[in-house]
Amino acid sequence: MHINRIMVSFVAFGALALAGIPASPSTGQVKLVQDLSIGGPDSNELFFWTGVSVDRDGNFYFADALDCTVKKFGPNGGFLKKAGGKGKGPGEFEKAVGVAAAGETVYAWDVFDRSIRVFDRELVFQRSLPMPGGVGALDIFPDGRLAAAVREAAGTPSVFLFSPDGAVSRKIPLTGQDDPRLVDSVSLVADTSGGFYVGYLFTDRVEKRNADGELVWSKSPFRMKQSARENIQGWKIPSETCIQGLALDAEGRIYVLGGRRAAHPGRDVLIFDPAGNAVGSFLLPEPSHSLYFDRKNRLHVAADGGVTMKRYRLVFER
Amino acid sequence: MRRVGSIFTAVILAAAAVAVSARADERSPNIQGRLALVLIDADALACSPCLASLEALCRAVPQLVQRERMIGVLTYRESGPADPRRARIIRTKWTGYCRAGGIGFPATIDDAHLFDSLNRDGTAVIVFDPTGGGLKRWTPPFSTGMVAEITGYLLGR
Repeated sequence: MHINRIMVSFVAFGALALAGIPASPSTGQVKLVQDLSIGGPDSNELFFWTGVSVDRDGNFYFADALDCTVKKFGPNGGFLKKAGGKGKGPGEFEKAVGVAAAGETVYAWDVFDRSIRVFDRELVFQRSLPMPGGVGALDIFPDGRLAAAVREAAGTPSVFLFSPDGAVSRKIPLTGQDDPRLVDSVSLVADTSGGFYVGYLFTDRVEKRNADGELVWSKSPFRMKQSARENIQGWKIPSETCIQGLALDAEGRIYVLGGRRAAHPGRDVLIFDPAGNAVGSFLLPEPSHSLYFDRKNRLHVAADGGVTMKRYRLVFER
Repeated sequence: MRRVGSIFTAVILAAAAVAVSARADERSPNIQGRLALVLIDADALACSPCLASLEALCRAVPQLVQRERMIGVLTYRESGPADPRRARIIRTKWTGYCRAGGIGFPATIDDAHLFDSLNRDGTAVIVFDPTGGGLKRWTPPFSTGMVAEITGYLLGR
């Protein structure tokens, strides 16, 4: 366990000016204090983790996109076990891209598959939950219901709300994506009120939706111009990312991680309150593709190109 | 050009070493020294479609042949000074990729960027035949016919 004191101080007004967001009187300095690191360039524990979740006992679960597994680490960061592997069989993945733990269940999803794999906390595969399409993002409400961004074969890209047994209770079309092929390129976080936030990977847009799926507010947090499109294998699609990740802290503040089109690619983090007001920003020490808060309000981010996970306590100073 | 020439020389010498050591190949002299150099864009290791062709090739080529006749070179781009940490990260990612993809050939990391000019198109397979068969290069996507051609070339068919 590494305890390093890393000062990441940022003059709030200057940071907000760089991010193009009006200064807020409630902003202050944000300090990151690292208290744990898992993996590393020489550890062969994580190869390219794409999702992390922490259970009630402090165990870590990772989705690893390179060796196509889900992995469990103990509260002190020690490796415990892994499951899955590359394939189309039960519990296997073509490319594991996300994981979410709740209660006794660990959900994991594959960008190339139309189902969610369900494991128990010992990573014993239980079953697959069929989905209407490919799952790009998923999060869990406090009551155990799930929200998933799903790309159906036909029709509009949507967020589906469903029970732990897979029964769909609501379908909410997404409006911030002008190309249905990109629907799986979103970040999704559920809030305690039953609503959720969506961040679009290729569009500078974050939305807040209420429990009925109605739009509460929408923002272009980084004030980016429309991304140029490239011809990739016959498709004209954006090639540079805007919103790389979203995370919600215990106070209900939403954290938005900028992608390659941000001023500091993968490092700019903007903070908004539940009403959508900007309340701060900071720079990560190095680029990350992911943000996640555990129930103790500690921030988990990627480092070293995804072979390391670093955990920080955030200290807001005035 | 001088650098490229020295690279080819090194590869030919390596191929000759393979020919000397592969006593089992005495039954098939026409495959002695044949070697496939696989240039891999390390920045594409997490891109499944980008490397799908390579994985299809590795399913077709027996593991023993991969170990003895294929060599990988992981190339990558650096915008600033060479960073040794980057090479270590790529080595870790390659380990994870091999575990999932059933890759059987060894690979080295081009931290000196000697192969950058050869890998402008991303992943490529270059087969050397020092017995006079010349060189041939394939770039993905590999068709079924191309996979068969590369496999046959390595197996001496």
